[in-house]
Amino acid sequence: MKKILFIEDEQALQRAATQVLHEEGFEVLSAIDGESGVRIAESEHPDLILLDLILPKKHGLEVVKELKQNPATARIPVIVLSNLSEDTDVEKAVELGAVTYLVKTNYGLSEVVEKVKQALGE
Amino acid sequence: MNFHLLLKELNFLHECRKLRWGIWQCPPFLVIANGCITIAAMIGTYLLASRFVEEPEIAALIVMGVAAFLIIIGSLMVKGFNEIAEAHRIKSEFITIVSHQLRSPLSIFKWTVDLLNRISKKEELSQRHEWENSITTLHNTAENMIRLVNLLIEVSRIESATAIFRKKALSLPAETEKILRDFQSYARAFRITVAFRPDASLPSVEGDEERVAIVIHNLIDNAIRYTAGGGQIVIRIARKGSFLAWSITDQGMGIPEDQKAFIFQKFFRAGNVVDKQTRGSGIGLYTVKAITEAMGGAVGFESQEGKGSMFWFTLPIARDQSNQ
Repeated sequence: MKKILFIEDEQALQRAATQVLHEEGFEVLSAIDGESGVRIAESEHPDLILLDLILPKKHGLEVVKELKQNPATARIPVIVLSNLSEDTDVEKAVELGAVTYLVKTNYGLSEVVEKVKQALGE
Repeated sequence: MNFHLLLKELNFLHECRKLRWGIWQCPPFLVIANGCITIAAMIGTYLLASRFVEEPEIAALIVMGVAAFLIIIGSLMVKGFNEIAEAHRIKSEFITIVSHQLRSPLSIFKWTVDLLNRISKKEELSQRHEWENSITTLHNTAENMIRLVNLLIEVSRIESATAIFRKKALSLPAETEKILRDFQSYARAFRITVAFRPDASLPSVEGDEERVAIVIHNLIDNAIRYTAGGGQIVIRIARKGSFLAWSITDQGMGIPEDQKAFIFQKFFRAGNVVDKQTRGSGIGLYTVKAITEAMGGAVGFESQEGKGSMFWFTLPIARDQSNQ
């Protein structure tokens, strides 16, 4: 069973995404801030990370940077899921190593699951 | 038709009035005034200099005086252009921040409705709890969005000086109790106990009921939200001369010393707060200050980082009660 780490501080979004990803056959790990997100990624080695940008304790872009600088987590694909949509945010995230940048309000849960499956090559 | 359009283009005073700029802030007027003054100054200086050619000091003084006047007009023009640029920057910043603040609850809506859709296709009773949770989430999210939009409208009204304050005699203790009832479950979720200690026999204050509610709501919301891990908040109301002073003391994260000066600025959120709690528009305290001052009161705070804060506001006692 593939493991997805969802780093998102909004509990309602965590709950909704976790339920749907479970139903699609994924194991879901949750982190509600940037620091614990990095810690869980390093200890659990998920197959993919879904990452918000505006997070307590550590900004999402800092999280991407740290994950990509660590050989243990550098190869984990990261999909950014944020409501920030300035071109500068998107460019920065992709430059740091995110595979995809999704603006949350533009994607329903099923579409997010599709993107997760695409990134995992399913 | 073209002549009318041309006249409209030249009617810059109408444009400035639309933007609520005074005449000395209106760049088109200042440019034309500057041009006219420059021409008049050149002609005047020539005439005076040719008349007083034997007294070149007088001619020099006249030229210096005119130059000083032109510099003042030029400075006013530059100030006007700077204000336009600043207004444009504030507008862009406002749109960016507000879009993000509104998108956040909209995402919650979208995904929760997706979830409900999935649940509705199943018949398992075990999903009922998730269904009820989702309905509660949708309700709370809608309320938060409405509150945010109302706050934004209030900010816009205050800034454009179009807010109309319907003042009447209000009981601050009664208004506070009404709002505290709405906060009961929110405070419980944060493990906060609220102690409300108004002095006895307080007179009424003069204020706009809806806006006084916004002020009290914002201050209580902040006190609860920025007190992580449980604690107590205390609300007091006391008489201070011809005002009533309302204060709320929390045991929250407090405000860093170097950021205290900015706490009432629009969109400002202290660094220690953003680090722990990403939800928050940064316009709550700005609105509290603007509303309180518009009603003849004042607002302030004391705070120690890591220990907590005390925010207060005052409102004038209602005129027929000030002798009580």
